[in-house]
Amino acid sequence: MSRSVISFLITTMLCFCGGILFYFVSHQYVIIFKKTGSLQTCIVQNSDQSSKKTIFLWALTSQGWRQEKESVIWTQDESECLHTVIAHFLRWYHDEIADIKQARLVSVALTLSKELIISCDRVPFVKNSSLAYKLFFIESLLKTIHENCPSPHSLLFLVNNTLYHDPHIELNRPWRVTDYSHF
Amino acid sequence: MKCARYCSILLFFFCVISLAATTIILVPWGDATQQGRGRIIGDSFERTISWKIATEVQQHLRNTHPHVAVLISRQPGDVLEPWATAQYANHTQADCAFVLGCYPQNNTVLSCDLYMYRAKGNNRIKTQQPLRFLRCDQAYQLAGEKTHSIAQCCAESLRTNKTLQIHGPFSLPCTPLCGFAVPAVHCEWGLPHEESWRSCVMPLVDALKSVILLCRDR
Repeated sequence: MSRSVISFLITTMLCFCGGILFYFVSHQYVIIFKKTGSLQTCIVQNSDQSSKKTIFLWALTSQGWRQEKESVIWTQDESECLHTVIAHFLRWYHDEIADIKQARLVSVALTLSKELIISCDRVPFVKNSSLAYKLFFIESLLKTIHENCPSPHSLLFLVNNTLYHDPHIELNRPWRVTDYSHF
Repeated sequence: MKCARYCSILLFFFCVISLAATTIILVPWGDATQQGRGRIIGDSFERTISWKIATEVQQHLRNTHPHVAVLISRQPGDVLEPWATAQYANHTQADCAFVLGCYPQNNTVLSCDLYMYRAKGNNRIKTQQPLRFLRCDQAYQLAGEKTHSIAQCCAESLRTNKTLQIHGPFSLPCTPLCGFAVPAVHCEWGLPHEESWRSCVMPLVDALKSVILLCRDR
């Protein structure tokens, strides 16, 4: 066998193996791991910033304050943490405390002046509810926010990102976060 | 002898004038455009029930205390501008305004919740100058102490009635009380069944009598 034939066969074999390998990779029979610096950095940063934390949810009832513990993932992003706390609070309050409408949290923003603005997709109050019922809900929300994230100074409640004018309680002005019953 | 007679006549007129000076405004919730909470009793809305309570209370007080001016802020069919009730009370310099509301409740016991206005946030008036513009949510501070004592007096009187459940008085930014520069209290009645509103009348009349005595003492 001449040398040229041998080299032709070797080239053919290499091309055949290369083709098979390309076929396997393109059909994801074989996965080639790429070591990228940015992905690793991102994972390291996240593992530093995220942690498991126990938050306390508060509800004011006619018998006094009621407390509930829940475990959540806590990050360095304060708005995200506030979003988590408020979403947990709304679900818990709806399920276990009072007959409120299931409101979904649309957005949460913390301004530079530490005013917390939260927006829900609907008003959580039932139409025939008493003023005390509305007050209890607002105070419960304020205490839950203040106990878990102390930095916001005031809270403005929006519905679908617009000011909400309630006929009984003024929700169109910000509420100081510490303005809940201290008993 | 003549001097004593003149003195007694003067004293009588002074008493009559001082008694007639007591003015109470009853503010039934809502107006022709705002019906309030819906279908509390049968097909009645909050505005109707609270107006019925107000007229009954007015009748009782007119019979027992003819020297006291008891006014109702609206009649059925009236349309009120925003702040009209507060302006009316402020212009008449009423001794006290009572906003009356009601809501249906499942509890079998008749309940009454009392509220006073208090703005949220740090907006206290620093000085009490005679002429200055005030925001509507700061007006309550002109009668802050009086409001507090009237609400307490009202709550104590209502608590003597053992058939009632009394809550409060609570301080909060309550929309119907915004803009009142005279003492104003919001009474919200929890009505368990259809005829419960009639049971609100006499306890409220008794509470208003104690408030009238308190206003007269000042």
